[in-house]
Amino acid sequence: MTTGSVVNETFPAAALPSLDGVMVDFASYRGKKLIVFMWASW
Amino acid sequence: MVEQYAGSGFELVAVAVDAQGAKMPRPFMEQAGATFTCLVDSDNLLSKTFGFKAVPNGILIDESGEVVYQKFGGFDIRKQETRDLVDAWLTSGATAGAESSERTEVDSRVHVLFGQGLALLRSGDTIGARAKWREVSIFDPDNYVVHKQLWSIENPERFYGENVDMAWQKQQLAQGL
Repeated sequence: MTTGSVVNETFPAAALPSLDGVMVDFASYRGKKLIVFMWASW
Repeated sequence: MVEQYAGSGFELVAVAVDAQGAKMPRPFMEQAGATFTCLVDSDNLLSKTFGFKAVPNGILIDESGEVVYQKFGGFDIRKQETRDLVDAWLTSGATAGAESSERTEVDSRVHVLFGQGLALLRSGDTIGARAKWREVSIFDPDNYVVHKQLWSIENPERFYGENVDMAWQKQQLAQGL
């Protein structure tokens, strides 16, 4: 089941830790083009 | 793989989806000599937010913070079509008819069970965690974000050696595991 695309909506407020545990807020990239690439080592 | 784009006036953030935390993706990123920001999503935060059941995924976000393109599953910068899309967007800001993935509704029970398993894993109860995630894989069999993490803690040798053993994964699926 799909609920439609979120394209053309603002990227949701979210923050995640870096490999070193420093929290990074996605909103801090405003003003620049941003590519978020999600991957896994599994 | 993405280094060639460095300095093209954009930012790249790689998010490793891994319940076991930074220790799993770190060697891969160090080996790749990553110069971009590497984040870790241990709680399936982005899967909850965006509704996806597999990776690799790519999301393109413009200067105003708006999502202009999203691809869930199979976003691979080694593919020509992906490179063309990214190049065009960086150059012109347009995504030229590229079709975005739909958001999938992930049942809230999946997130509850995953969260319970995660709490158990963090408390050192790997067996309990596996049981919770096994429930997810029965309830929502195409949820690879959970299913493959279950496999990876059950059979680390298939995942964290030289190569991820894809033939083994196919065999597991064929056997309904």
